[in-house]
Amino acid sequence: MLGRRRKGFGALLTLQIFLIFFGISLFLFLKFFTYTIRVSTTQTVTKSRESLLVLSIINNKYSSGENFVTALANDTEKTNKEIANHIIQFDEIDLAKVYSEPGVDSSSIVTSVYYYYKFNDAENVIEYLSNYKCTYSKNPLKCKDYTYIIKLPIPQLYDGTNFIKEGLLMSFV
Amino acid sequence: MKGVAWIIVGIMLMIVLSIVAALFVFGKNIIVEKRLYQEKILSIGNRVEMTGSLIVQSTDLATLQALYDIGNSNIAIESKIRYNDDEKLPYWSDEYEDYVKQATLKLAEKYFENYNKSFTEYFMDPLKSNERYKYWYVEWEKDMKIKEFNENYISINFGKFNITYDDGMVRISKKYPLVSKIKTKFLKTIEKSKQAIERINNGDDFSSIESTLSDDYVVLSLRDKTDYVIVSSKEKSVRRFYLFSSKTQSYDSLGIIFVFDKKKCFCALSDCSNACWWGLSGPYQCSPSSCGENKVGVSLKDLSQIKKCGNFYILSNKDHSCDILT
Repeated sequence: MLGRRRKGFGALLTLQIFLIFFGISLFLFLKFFTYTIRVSTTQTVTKSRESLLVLSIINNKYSSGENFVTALANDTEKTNKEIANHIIQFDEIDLAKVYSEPGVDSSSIVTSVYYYYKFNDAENVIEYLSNYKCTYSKNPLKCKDYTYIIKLPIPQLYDGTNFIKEGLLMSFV
Repeated sequence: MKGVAWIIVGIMLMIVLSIVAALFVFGKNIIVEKRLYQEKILSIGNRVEMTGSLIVQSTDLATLQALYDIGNSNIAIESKIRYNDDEKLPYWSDEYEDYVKQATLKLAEKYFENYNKSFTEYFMDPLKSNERYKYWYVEWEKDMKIKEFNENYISINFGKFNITYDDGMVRISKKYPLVSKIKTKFLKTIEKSKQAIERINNGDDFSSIESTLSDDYVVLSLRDKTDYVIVSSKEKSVRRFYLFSSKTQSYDSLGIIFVFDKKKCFCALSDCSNACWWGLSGPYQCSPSSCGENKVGVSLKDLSQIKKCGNFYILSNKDHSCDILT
């Protein structure tokens, strides 16, 4: 009788441990491979803020009236003010400093370097000019809000030579 | 048999402990690497989205410039419209409004072809970037038609644009509808000019017509040239455009400008002055028998001092190159 009860207890314990192990594995799997979900999130983000900025740059530099901004914002005045602020900050980025950041591979700068930026902070201070700072000097799990700098071909009014010009744009994710 | 169950339990415990220990030792690096990989994917996705957004915006630029060039007769395409050779401007006719729409559509298509060519070269020309050439593919599915032409907006459908990034590990592909949407009072400028013509025919005073038809959005101006009137109806707001005349960018307004012949009909006889006469009320009076086909002015191809570029004619600068129109 006693032997039978001990055997049953062992099997139960085995089963429990197996379930715990399975649970941990599943958790780790989900934790480390959620990028596919985040990629799909990117596509929705672009509908609002980053598109707005792209448009605003065209709007400011190449002047197409308020067509672009009003298409995306109900409060044009507020949006224009917000965008103007972004552009001022964008223009103030010291690109030479970004490129000379230690540990930054200049060949990968297009896709991997960006700066961390507190968008909703009252001061709107640029805290980091490099993704690497945020990744290595702080707990990377806390770096959740990013602003990317991406090199892109920007369409412009024909200037007698070109229809597009390559430029750096920032976007929010 | 009793001992087997505990061996299994022991193995399981060791596996779990190994994973926990590995995570403790390498966890931060794993997280960092994972985040960098995530960021790479995010960044590419982001780049695709922004590129798509920018290409869509090119359609707005193409539409705006086409509206400006056709409305101001900087560029023209062949049609039934007759032209005044001195002014290099079209004569008003019933077909003019439809001509403006169709010519704008064709010119916007040509302008977007330039943008498409530039984007395609940027991504797919190995001489510009071998890296982009390997991973990026862009394609325009052309489908041109006017979507909206109303008193607030002008919208043209250009088709769709495919963008694909594929480096073997990450593949992102998206198709963007290319639809321009321009907020403009362009249609109102046409309506105002129609009203101006009606009032000129009624013999109204020019300054009175200008002051009553101009409003907060549209400025109407008339210049009397004895046999014809130059009618200019433009938006009050200014935007930046490429000017063929100076080959530079500058500010100007969207709108239309054309010539209105004062004669009520066109004389079939070569000597117009014998068949038509200046009536008491102002405009030319003609006997019905003398009225023939629309012979006023010259056809586009007979205009002097202009430049032909494929299907397009540059009226505002005969020295401009054809690069962007052929």
